[in-house]
Amino acid sequence: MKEKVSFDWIKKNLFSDEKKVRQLKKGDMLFDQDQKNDRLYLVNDGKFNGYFTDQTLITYPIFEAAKNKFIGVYSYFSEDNKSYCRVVATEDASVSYYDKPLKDHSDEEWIRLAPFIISLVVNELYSRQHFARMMATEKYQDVQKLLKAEKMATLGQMAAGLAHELNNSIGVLDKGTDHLREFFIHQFQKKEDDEFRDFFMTGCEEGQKISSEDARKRRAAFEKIKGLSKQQIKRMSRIGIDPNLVQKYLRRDPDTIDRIYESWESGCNLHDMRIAARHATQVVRSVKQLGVSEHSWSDHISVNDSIEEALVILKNLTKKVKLRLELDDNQPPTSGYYGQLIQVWINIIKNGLESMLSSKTSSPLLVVRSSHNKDHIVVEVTDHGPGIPKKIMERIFEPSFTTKIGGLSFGLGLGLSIVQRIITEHDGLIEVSSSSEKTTFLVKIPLIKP
Amino acid sequence: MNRSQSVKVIIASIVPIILLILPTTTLGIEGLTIIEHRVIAIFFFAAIFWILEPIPIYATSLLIIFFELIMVSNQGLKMLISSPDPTSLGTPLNYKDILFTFASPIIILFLGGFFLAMAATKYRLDQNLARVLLKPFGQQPKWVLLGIMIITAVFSMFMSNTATTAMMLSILAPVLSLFLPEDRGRMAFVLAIPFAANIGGIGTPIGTPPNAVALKYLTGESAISFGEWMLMALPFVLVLMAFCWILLLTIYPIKTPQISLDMKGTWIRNPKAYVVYGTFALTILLWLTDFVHGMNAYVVAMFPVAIFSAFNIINKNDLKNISWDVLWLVSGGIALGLALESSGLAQRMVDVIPFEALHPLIIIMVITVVAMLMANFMSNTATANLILPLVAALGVALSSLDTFGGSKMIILAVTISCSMGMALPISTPPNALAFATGSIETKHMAKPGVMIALVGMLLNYTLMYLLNLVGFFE
Amino acid sequence: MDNLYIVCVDDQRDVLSSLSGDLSPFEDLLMIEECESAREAWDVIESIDQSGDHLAIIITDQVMPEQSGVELLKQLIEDGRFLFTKKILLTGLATHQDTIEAINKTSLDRYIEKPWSSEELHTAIKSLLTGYLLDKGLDYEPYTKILDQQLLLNYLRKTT
Repeated sequence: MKEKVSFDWIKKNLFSDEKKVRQLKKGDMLFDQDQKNDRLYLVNDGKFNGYFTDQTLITYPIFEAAKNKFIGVYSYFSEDNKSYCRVVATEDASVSYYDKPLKDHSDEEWIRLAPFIISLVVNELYSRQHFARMMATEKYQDVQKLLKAEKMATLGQMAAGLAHELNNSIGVLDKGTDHLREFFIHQFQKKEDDEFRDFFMTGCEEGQKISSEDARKRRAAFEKIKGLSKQQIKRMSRIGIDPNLVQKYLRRDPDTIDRIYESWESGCNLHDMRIAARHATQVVRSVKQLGVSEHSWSDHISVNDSIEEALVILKNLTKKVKLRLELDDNQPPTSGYYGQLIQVWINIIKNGLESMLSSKTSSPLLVVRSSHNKDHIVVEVTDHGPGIPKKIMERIFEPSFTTKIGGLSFGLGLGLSIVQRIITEHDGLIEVSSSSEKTTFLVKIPLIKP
Repeated sequence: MNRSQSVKVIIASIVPIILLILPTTTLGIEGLTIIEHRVIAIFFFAAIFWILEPIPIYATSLLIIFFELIMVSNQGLKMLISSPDPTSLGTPLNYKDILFTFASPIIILFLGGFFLAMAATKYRLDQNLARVLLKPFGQQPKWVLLGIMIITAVFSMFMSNTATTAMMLSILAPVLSLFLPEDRGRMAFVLAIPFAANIGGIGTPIGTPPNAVALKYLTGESAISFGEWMLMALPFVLVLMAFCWILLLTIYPIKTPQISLDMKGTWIRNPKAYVVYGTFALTILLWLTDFVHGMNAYVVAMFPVAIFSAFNIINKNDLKNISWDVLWLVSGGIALGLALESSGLAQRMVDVIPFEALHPLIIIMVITVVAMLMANFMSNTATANLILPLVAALGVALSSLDTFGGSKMIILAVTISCSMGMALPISTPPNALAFATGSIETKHMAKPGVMIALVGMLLNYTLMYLLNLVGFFE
Repeated sequence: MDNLYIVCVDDQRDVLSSLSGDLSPFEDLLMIEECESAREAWDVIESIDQSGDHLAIIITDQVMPEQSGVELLKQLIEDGRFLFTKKILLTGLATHQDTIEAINKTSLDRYIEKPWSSEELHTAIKSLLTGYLLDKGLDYEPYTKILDQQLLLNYLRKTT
């Protein structure tokens, strides 16, 4: 009765010759590409990699082989016994080999070995195929990552360029405003101009404090004063001046009223200009942070600051909803990529905002809360939107996953996959919990004392 | 209505109300009846309200009719028109006569004019005519200016002065921007249009409302046909236009070397349009040839009204665009004249005031100058409404005027004077439109406006003198 | 009674001030109201309506808390009282979708982008005001100074 061919049988009968064993150190080559190889190796221990070098001298990994895998299958069975790749031990290893040339086998021997050889070859084919596919996928993902990184880098450069240009312009405006203010104060130097200067300064420092609604309410008081035109009534009610004072001025010289308003309004204009310049500076700084410092690790960052910068950038979106900010007052500093953290908040907050806005949630509310424990800084972003459906819950962190059409919008967000990557790079943790009423993203960033 | 408006109404009402409340005898006119007394109050009400305009002038007209109906008509408020002493009350007016002023033949004449103008605009007859007529004037600025003036004048004879001005200004608007900023010639163009429209309006009975008011008083022996009017007025219009043209070229010389009015458009060719073209020509022809067919201008005026309505050329919607306010303004004037005349007040005033003592030429001078001045500050039509009934009565009563042409002469002279108000933006709607373009200031308009008015008045007197010589007034 | 109003709505105080500053040439003849939110705008609009005045033009920002500009305008055209009111959307950041919605659903009259030029704004106001007066059949004469002359002339040509 013929014995059944099995791996154990092969091992026992073909690879048991103790003389035919090779010991290799890590990095040792088993055989080279194009080298003649007439042995069939079986790995007893350790690991090998096969490498193929093409005409352009670029080397690719072709296969991996570990314990109980065969090496040299192709060269051993092929006509010319030429190896198509180089095999190197990636750790200390030992192999046994079988070197009886094929042509020396008798027919009977062949028949006995054939099933084994077929299965051996198929097995090899399969595992190499599998390996190749894995390599391809990995490479594809690498390319994608690269592309995204490149996009971000371009945006970053653009942002930096923009920021530089804008900063110059804003600087000019800001300085100009200051000069104008000085000029005006100088203009009001005369004694009799004292009160105009006061109104100018009030305007400068406070702007229009009175809301349009209050101004309308205050109008009644001025309407009682005789001799004020409709326009003057409206103007005086905006300044927030005492009606009795207006009456006094009016009695002295009716022209005073218009001059008061003009002085105050000029002040307000300067005030608004300064505020606008400051806001512009802030936006520019945030955008710059986002772009340039993405890859620089800082030892002393404030997570709260990064949240606030994200909110500056998202100002136009957050306007549409009610925003509740509960930031940790005693938040300790930690280490991390500041720019990337801004990215994280932008993405998470934007996600919440958009889900509320696109579903037209009534009274949309977004809560951003930060806290800390001894190991972590914890940030929770909760939106009161429709929640994330269960069936897509698992996929939201996948790179290509989006519930929106269009994808990248002004480079402010690259989606939740980026968020997860960044958090992972910080050794942090991100969790989502969602119900039909609200969705909470919980982010934990390790506290690293500088 | 806001507060300042209410204050104006109250102030304007003071004098008429006091006049009304005073006992009749205190007015110091012998034999004055109560009805006459009330007409005086209504007349003062009309005068003050038309001059100060606390309410729209057509509203004043409607109030005149309203007050007449309740205070001096035979269907008025009983306690007002019944008196134990019929002689002191006087004869109440027939209420139907007052109400008929709404459909007076003159109103129908104007309505006919409105229908013609509306159809012409709707089928772009006006624009196409303007395009064709302007072509021969070439591109030399002064000739283009003349062309624009002639076309404006001709159109304003048959269309309202306002609509004509609006059309011509909108044709001119794209050209205005081509003028060099320092070129005052722009003003010549902007002013030429309202001036030509105002002057052109004198040309036909339907050219401007004061003419229509005049027709009301030109009855019986002094009646005047459409053709006769044009025969009388056209020479005047031509000469004054020529003066206006030269004047504008002198005051505001045009530096821009070339002006091309690039007007696009084609004649509409469909049956309805042909009906419009035909009716337009027919109506004017019939107006001018009453001596052949015997239909007077009022009857002819129904041709466009009937034809355009029948062919649905003027539809229900278009009727809304008719300036009823202009028609009612005239109605009120007619009603005022009616009250003055029928109550006997006009005659009594002429009797009481010793006009005979004055030289007739002085009377003519004073009245025409007053009319011209009033027309500068208020509506031309309202001026005619106020002055013409008095003048008509005067003309009939004052025999010393007969050698100069009698009532017909003085009515025509005053009517023309009423169209001489064009010195200020508020003088006429065309002036206001030209002013609104922002190309001119009041002083730019006042200078030529005053000169045209003065020359126009002299021309007016000359015309009357010549007409009297050739026996036009007999 | 019979006053014409321009209502400006923007949640940013400084923008509102500069907007009403730009509109000051019209202040002699028109009433100009500032509102910091859509809700406030509604209060003002209601009181304008109650006193028998006319809401001629509404100028609104798009991005505002609570109610957005487009929502405000939509609500306005659904209200029969303001059929003739002219609508301007003045915005710095509107998505494509907002814009389409504004034009299609609110029969928007003008779309002006921030930052706006005073001249552009003035031209728009003049022409819209003219349209409003003529559409509504109000007396245009007191406002002749601030109307779009060409529009007015074209209208007057049609009268008798």
